[in-house]
Order: sequence, then structure tokens, then C-alpha cells
Amino acid sequence: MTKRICGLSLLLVFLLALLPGVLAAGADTQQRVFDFAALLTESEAAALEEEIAALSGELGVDLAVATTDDNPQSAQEYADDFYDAHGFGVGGDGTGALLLIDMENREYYISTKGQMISRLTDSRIDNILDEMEPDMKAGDYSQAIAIFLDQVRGYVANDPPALPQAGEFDRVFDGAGIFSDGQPAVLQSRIDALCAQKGIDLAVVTADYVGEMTAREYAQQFYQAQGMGKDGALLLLDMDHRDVYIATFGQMASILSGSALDETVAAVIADAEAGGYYQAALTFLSKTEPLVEKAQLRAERTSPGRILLYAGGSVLVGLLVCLLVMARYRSRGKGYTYPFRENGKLELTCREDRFLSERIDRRYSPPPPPPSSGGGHGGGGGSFGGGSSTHTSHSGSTHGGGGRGF
Amino acid sequence: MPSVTYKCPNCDAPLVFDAGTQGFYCDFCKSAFTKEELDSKAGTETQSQTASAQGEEGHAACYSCPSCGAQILAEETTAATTCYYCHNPVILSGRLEGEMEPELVIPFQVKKEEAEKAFAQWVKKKWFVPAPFKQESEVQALTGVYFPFWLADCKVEGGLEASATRVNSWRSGDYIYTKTEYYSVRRAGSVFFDNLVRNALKKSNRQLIEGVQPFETQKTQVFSLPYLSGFQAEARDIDAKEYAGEIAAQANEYAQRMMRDTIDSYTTVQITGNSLHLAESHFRYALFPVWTLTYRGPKGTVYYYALNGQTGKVFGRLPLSYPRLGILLAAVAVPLFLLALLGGFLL
Ligand SMILES: [Zn+2]
Ligand SMILES: [Zn+2]
Repeated sequence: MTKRICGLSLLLVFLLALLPGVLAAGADTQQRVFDFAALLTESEAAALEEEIAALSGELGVDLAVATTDDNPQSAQEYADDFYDAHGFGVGGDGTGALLLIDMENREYYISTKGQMISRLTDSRIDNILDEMEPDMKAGDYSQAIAIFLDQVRGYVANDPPALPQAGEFDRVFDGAGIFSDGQPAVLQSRIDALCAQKGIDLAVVTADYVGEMTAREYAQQFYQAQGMGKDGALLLLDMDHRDVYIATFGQMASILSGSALDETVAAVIADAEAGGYYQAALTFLSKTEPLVEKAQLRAERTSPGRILLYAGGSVLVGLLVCLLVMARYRSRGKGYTYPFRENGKLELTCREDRFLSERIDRRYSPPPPPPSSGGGHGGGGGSFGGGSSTHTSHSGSTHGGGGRGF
Repeated sequence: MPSVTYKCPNCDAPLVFDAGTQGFYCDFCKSAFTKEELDSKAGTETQSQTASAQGEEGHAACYSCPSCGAQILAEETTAATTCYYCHNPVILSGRLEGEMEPELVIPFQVKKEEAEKAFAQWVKKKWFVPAPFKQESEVQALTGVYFPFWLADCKVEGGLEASATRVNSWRSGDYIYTKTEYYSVRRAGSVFFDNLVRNALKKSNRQLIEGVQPFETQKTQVFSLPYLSGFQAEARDIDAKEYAGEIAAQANEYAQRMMRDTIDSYTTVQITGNSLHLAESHFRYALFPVWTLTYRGPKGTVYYYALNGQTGKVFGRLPLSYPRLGILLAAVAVPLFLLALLGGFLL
């Protein structure tokens, strides 16, 4: 009997879905609790219906609960089909979630759609399923559903995630609280040093929840919200998705790209997987630093000015070589000069060298003292200035004076 | 203007001077004659034909070819050439007569084939010379030309007076002694310079004329017209008087330096008197042999190659191929630039 009802209602819904215009109304029925397996009492179902309606309104999403004891498919297929067939969901993307309790497969399954996919991440669904497990096993389905709704409220109501606020450190944000004391300070100081030297802004961010944003969106929003420099990179350790994301901006987008980026991400992931989140952050910094250095060195060497310099220098050297060649081709051989010393003939009729006079100058110049030896002490004095050199002329008188060549 | 062509005493074909044998050769009957043989047969066997002068000496003039009788216009300094029509050697003897007769000549010693070979050798290694310059036809255009020169012999007389010092110094005890001796020096006598060379043709290329020098001027011979047969020759158009001052100054300077060289073994020398002056000078007109090749570049620049017809010394200004220079520039600059760039990108 219940099977037939189930089948009939499915058929009905299917037929309704075929009718255009009717589809636009989405779930024309307000029913969100489909207890085909009769796991709930009538009053429980009614109460649940009310609770779901309230919560759906509060969160702006569509929530539904279904139970079945006749499912030839997998729980996932059943849940997804059921969700779609009923046209659940809010907005164009049909945002919502459905909890299916499949008694046939003894499975319970949460199907999400639209924005709920990103809100209820796999880890969260795991958490929810964990919370529900004891009651499910105990057969207290009503309680399990209540926990489901509670958990969903907990996760979805907190959306959107608040961006971490700048605290003690403006480039290290440990939103997930995975760094131990002192570690952010070390990271911050390294980033500051790099920033000051290279003019590149870096940040390390950890988050345990990034909401519906992708890691990239989160990183970008964060980067802009912090007013970081136009050239920079941000490492996001997304603990929610257990994802590592490196966002690059400005010049860093070309510096940290391709294989260099892949390598860095791989190294960071390797550290993060080993649980060394701090080490992962350090790896990010130490991998980035030499890349920046190299890129800036290259940028300097390949700046238009430098290239122009290279070009100018090369052409100059080329011209010099050309000039050398031209000089060699302009003329060969030297101009001729008459070798007068060889060709000239000198006949001297007079060769006279007459001695006129001589003078002798005497200059006081003691030879340098020999280097003193041993431990003996010496002493002495000397005169200075006042001495005159004298010489004797041919007439025999003494003269003083001095001269200097020029 | 009188012109002459030397003819073979045997067959009446033109005779040309042969640099190889320093004699005369008939290309038609392969006879060779020495200068003496030719001289002894002069007037009888040597066929000289004189055409009537047209125009004045020293200007462009017409002459008629002694072989074919064609009327030919000669440039104002041309003294020997070949007939434009019959290619026989023609000597315009009228340009080399009287006071215009050269005293000395250095006959060609380098044969045309040798000059051509030397040129080909020289130009072969020159990669930046445009290809046309290297062509056979250009080499063929190599011409043997007798260029006119003035040779000056000078005698400088007079002397130099100078005061000189000789300085010695030595040490004795704590003192250094310096002895300066003062001398009065006098030199007098004569200095002779032979064969100071000056160009005697206005249109000569200065660089070319200086580049091929020196000629071995002591090996000059008394001028004789037949030496020009088969070659081009230029008559002088610069008078010796124009060089008088220049030669006097040069001889004076040389003489002073030579005399100053004899005042040696002094520490300082100061010339106080100089009475050197040119006492005598004598200019002689000579023709010297040069193989030349001129090449007019595309922009009208004249390039030349010259070879001393006596000593074989080579001189020249070569045309440069700018496309080839461009290749060189690129070959140097481009790899250098790429290397620098590569260094910038890789380091
Ligand atoms: Zn003959
Ligand atoms: Zn003729």
C-alpha cells in the first residue's frame, strides 16, 4: 500500500514536473518531510515539518528529509533524484539539502545542491554524519534528524565567514589556529625583511572555514582587505578543504608561475600533509625569496635601459672594429722622410771645445746611519739649518751661493 | 708637336723598353736590342717621324701618330703614351726638349706581369675591397707611368756656437761635491745633401707620390727618350724655383741637426749662435717609374694602387665595400649583443 502511494506520488510529481509553468512554482507543495519508511510518528513528522519550514526560512535555503525502505538504487542516487524530482531548492541553482534515511540499504545520506555544496563541505558533512551516528544506530531517527537540522543551522547560519582581522601581525593570520606561540612572529619578521628588501608583499593565512568562496576568491578578498602591495603573494592554508592555495598578484604573478609555482605548492603540500603547517609556511617563504631575487636581478639585467646599453656597446665595438679595418685600408706604408743623417755629408773645418771655468759645490749630506743592532741605546743631536756650502773661484776667494737647474 | 715612335731596325714594328732585360724589344719579330745598339743605329735605322706642332707647348695639344697618322689630343703634361687608334707607343718629344729635357731617368725595373702579380697578391687578402676592384680587367688597367721629379743637391755652410757644461759629482765623507765645467764650443764646415726629392707634377696624387718613395736615386741614368717607349710619361709642370725656399729650409734644418750631433759628451748644451746657410743648390729634373692603378669609386672618390717601378714597394688607398663593412659590423655586434642578452636572461 505504501509502496503504491509512493509510486503514485512519484509519478504525480514527475507528471507535474513535465508541465511548464507548474515547474516554475518549484515545490508546489510545502511538504518537506517524506516518511515513506514510516520511521516517524505522525506528530513527529508534523513537528519536523514545521521546524524545517522555519529553519529554511531562516537560512534562506531549502531543506528536506526523506525516508525509504524500498530503494533498488544507491542512497546517493535516490536522494539526488528525489531532490531534483521534487524541484527542491531556492534560487536558480536550487540551493538546498536533503537528508535521506535509506532503510533498504541501511544508509543515511545528505545530498546538497547549489550554494549548499560549498557550505556543507565534505568534512562538514562527515562531521554531521558523525554527530548523527549514535542516534541512527539507536534507531532514534527523530533525534538524528533534529541533530541534522541543528548542525546545518550551525554551519550555514555562520556564513559568510568573517575575514580574519589584523591582529598583532599584519602579514600572518592564523585563522585556523594551527601555529604555536612564537611561530607567527618569526614568519612576520621574515616577511617584513623580504618586503623591505625586495618590495614584494607576502602573507600567510590559515583558515578553518572559507565559506562558499573558492580558495582563490578568499585569498583575493583577503589580500585586498588587508591593503597589501600591488606585487605580492599570499599562502592560504585552507584547513576546511584541506587545501593549499597560493594567490599571486602584480609582478609576483609572473615571478611565481608555471613550474616554479607548481614546485612551491608541491613543497608546501608535502609539509602540510606531514602536519608541519609552520614548516609549510616557512617553505613558502624560503621558496619565494630566491625566486624574487632572481627575477629582480633578471629584470635589472633585462631592463630596456640595460638592453639599450648592451646594444649600444655591441654596436660601438663593431664600429671600432670597422674603423680599424678602414684605417688599415686607407693607406699602406708610411710617408717618406729623407734619411738626412745617412745621406748627408758633414765636413767640419772647425771643431773647438774651449774650457772656460769650473766650480765645485759642496753639500752636507751624511750617509744614512747603519741600522742599530742589539739592545744598546744610542742618542745624539744634530744641527739644523744655517749651514752654508762654499766654493773657491779661480781667483782663490771663497763664495757661497746655490743654483738649481730648470 | 713633334712626336716619335721607335721602330725595329729589322721589321719596322714598334720597339718598346723592356724592364726585364733593360733593353729594347720588338714584339713582332722578337728581336732584342741594347741601348748601345739602338743608339748606334740612331738616325738611320730608328724611324722617327715628326708631325707638325699644333698648339703651344705646355697646353693641351694635337699631335699626329707617327704610325697611323691619326690626329690625337694630348693632355698638357703628357710626354709619352700609346696611340689611341693603333696602340703603338708615341713619345711627344717636343715636351721633353730644350729646358724641358729631363737630366735623369730611372728606367722601369719591374715588369708589368710582376706588378700585376704583386697587385693581385696584395688585393687578394683584402676582403673589404669591393669585388669589382679585384677583377682581372682592373688589374689589366695597371699602367706604367714615368712621373717627373725634382732632385735637389744642396751645400750648407756655416757653423754653430754653443756654451756647454759638463757636471761630475762625488761623495767624500759627509759631503757631496759637484764639479761643473764650463766650455765654449764652436763647429763650422759644410754639409752636403744629395737627391732631396720633390714632386714636379701638379696633378700628382701627393699621397701616392710620397707613398711609393724612396727611389734609389743613386741608380739614376742619363735621360734618353727611348726609355719611355711603351710607357706613359708625364712632363713636369712645377718649376724648381717653387721649391727653392722649402729645400733651403729643409737642408738648413738637417745641417743644423747633424752639426749639433757633433757637440756631444756634455751635460748641457745651449746653442748661442747659428751661421748655417744654404751656399749652393742644384736642381735636376728626373723621371721615375711607377706602376699605377686608379679606381673611381661610386661616389667619385679616387682610389689608387701604386708600385714603385724601381724597387717594387707597394702603396695604395683601397676602396672599402660598405656592404661588407656592414656585414663585419653585424658579425661583431649581433653575437655580442645576443651574448649580453643571454647572460642577462640566464644569470
Ligand atoms: Zn722587329
Ligand atoms: Zn697610331
